[in-house]
Amino acid sequence: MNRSRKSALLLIVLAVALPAVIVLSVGTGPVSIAPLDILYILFDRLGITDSQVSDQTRLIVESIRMPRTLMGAMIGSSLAIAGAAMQGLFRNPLADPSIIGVSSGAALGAGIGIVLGGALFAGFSSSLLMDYSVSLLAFAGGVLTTWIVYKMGTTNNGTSVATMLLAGVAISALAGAGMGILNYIADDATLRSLTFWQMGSIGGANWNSVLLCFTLLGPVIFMLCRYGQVLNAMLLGESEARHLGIDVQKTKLKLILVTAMAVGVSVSVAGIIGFVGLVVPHLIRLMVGPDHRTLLPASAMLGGILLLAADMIARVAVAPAELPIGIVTALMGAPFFMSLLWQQRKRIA
Amino acid sequence: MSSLKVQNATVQIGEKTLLDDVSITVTPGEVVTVLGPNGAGKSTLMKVISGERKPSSGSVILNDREDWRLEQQALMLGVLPQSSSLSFPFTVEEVVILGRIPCATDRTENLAIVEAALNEVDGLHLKDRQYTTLSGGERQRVHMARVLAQIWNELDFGKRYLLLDEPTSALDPAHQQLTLKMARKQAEKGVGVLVILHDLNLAARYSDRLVILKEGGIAAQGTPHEVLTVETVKAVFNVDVTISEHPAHHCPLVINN
Amino acid sequence: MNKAIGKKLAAALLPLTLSFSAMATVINIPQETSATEEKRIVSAGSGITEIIYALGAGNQLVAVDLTSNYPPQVNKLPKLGYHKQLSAEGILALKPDMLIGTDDMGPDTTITQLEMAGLNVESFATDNSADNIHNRIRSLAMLLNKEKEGEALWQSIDSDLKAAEKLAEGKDKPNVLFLLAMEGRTPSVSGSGTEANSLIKLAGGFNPAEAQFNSYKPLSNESLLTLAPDVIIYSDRGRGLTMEQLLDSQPILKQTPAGKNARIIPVDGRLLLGGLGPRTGEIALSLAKAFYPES
Repeated sequence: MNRSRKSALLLIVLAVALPAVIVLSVGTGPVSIAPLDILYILFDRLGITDSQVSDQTRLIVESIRMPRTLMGAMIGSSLAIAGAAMQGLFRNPLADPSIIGVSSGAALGAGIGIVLGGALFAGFSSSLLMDYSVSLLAFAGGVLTTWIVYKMGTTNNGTSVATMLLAGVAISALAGAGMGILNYIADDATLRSLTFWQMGSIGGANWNSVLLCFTLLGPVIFMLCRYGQVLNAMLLGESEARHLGIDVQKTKLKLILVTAMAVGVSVSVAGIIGFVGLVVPHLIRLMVGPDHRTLLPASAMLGGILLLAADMIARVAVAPAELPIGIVTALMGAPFFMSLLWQQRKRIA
Repeated sequence: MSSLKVQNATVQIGEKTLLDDVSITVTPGEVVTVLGPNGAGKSTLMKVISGERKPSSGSVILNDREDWRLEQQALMLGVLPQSSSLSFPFTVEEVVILGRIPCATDRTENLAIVEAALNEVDGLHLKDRQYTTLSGGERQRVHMARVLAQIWNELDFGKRYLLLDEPTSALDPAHQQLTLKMARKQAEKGVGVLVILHDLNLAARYSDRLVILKEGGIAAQGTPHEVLTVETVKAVFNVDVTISEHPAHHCPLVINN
Repeated sequence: MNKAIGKKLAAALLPLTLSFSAMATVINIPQETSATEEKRIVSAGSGITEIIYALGAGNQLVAVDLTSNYPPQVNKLPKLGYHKQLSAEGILALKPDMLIGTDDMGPDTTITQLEMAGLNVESFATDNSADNIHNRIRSLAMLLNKEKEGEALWQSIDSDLKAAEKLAEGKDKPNVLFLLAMEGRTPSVSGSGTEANSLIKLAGGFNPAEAQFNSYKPLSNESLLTLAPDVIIYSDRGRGLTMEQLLDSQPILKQTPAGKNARIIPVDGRLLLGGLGPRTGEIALSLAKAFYPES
């Protein structure tokens, strides 16, 4: 089977699997809910049926699982597609938003929000600002680091990918030191919050955060999907892409901002969830090759699927407590990734 | 008249002059070869023409205009770089079809053009191979096919040009000849070709005109017979040669003493 | 698709399937049919849990948070995880009537979800003054219909606290530091806002670190000397560290008044997280005896 057939098939399979996993995710958790009840609840909402499903079941489905599932799918998709785009942009299959420091910047922002939030926003009467201070600061941190890294890597002759990667390493180190300071000055309870936040969770999802994700991440995913051909050209090299009629500087700036947005928003609502952006595009490339026209949408879908799978494990593995999802993705992703590297190593040798 | 014209281009970085008041014209249908020792400014010239580097002064005029949109320029000007950093496992067909990005043709047509372009560089058998498994020479030919595919169609708004930066550097002698024959064939189809070469004899045999660069400036410019003299070669390349006539092709033959 | 990828996918999906089959066991939560007025209670705070047991309502608990581990039988209950990282669905799955905790519990999103689900969420202040402990016991006793037991519990705590107060009457307060000993590292000292600080006060001591910082902070040797503690209380979080071992690992302590006079006392560190509980009186009294040996 040639690659274009395979790609089409993969996209179809993923397009079927994603809704299936979403339904499965709504049905999975410490409280067992019959699949039929989920359908009833949906139909009741639509006014089609008027079933006897208990209020608590309804509440769990409507207020906890649905927002959580939808947010998880959105975040998984965004992280995976942002990873795929970054790898294309940096022409490095190991690049990841965390590599140029976006994640660490966002994490530092959120850390500041958690540890100093009370003091920082004490002057504001708006409690909404208090509630969202962590998210806002995470987002600001992500965009700010991206901007710094981008500026450092850019000269009159364009943006140097190598410099940006190095700047990313430096920024990450700096953000790490900042986190260290926060760790030091945090009191016991805040420290625990900080630690848990760094491990990621989508348990706190509500319809507001879902709305936030759809309005901010939806356009990001949609926009990135349209960059397939451009990223393909970028893989040839920046001058080659330019020779193919692509405004490389503008493209780079846009892609960097959009991925910073994807990562910043994800980190701000769910903490740090690693490996999705790295493993998912890699898997897709193994199956259908590096063509971004398939890679981007397929990564988005598989990213959603994998994050929901990880979250299902996070929900039930230690119930009634809950595992931080970042631990699950790392536990699933890291060994898998190591086996990929091992095989690559053997192939080269 | 349509042409690719470099007018008094100077590139300066700090105190250093990389290109010093260079003017070159390539007209459709001719093959112009740029020669010169390392550091003479050949690659800078290439970058100036392709628009990657703005000259400190002077201009590049493509078919009578300086201000083409990038997408339009891409249809008129194909650029083959010295080497490519592509490291993702595309198939050869996928790489060549990237050349069709600026073009508004459908996939079926693009695939046909990819085959034809691969055929031009003796690379049709590579079509389904993975690019990353190819040898250096094979890769160079694949990129050549990609650039050919890019400027495959004739345009109603301007003539087409091909810039080849040392296209033979990784090739065996047979494929060196093949590549330059292909360049000539493009010229016959009405494409203006500008090639950077190191091999004086290849240049002499396949070029209509030669441009010799030295220290950023033009040392000599004209037909192979005009340019390739014992004195010029000595002055520019610092080698002693004997120049005679090629028995079969009636072009100068440069023999190292 | 080639075979190798298929295999890899299968390997990636395996843990997934395993976890789904594990669900079946997870959902299997003890559903003992409780007596008519007995409630199903979830506690998220070690002090709260202790009080519930002390009131004789321990049988109504269906799950507790990670910090609750006294009395020992509490360890047989399902654990909710850390009290700041509760899972709404995990708690709802236990079908509780009530969640009782401190204002430390969270995250807020979970608490909101639980309240929306109609769960009765009771949250107590974590301030550890004697008044507050009294209030907490009284309110909990009311919630659980154990007013009599509550009053008796408070009486015993109160008499211990009064006895401790008496010991300290008319005497200079000794400087007391609480150290959280950690293996091979500088011990952390309790500042203001900690349970340990409250306990020192209740036992009639003075915590010189109180005015200097909030929460627990590792202190340099010099600062330790400057604070000049007459008595040191320490907790090793249950590893059985003796005074000699502590002094060996932190020789600088020998230079403090407490070290010179061997006035170094271990306490059960579990008392000092998640709010002071019913053992407060007893422990305050025993500490007071150590602070004022001559009384």
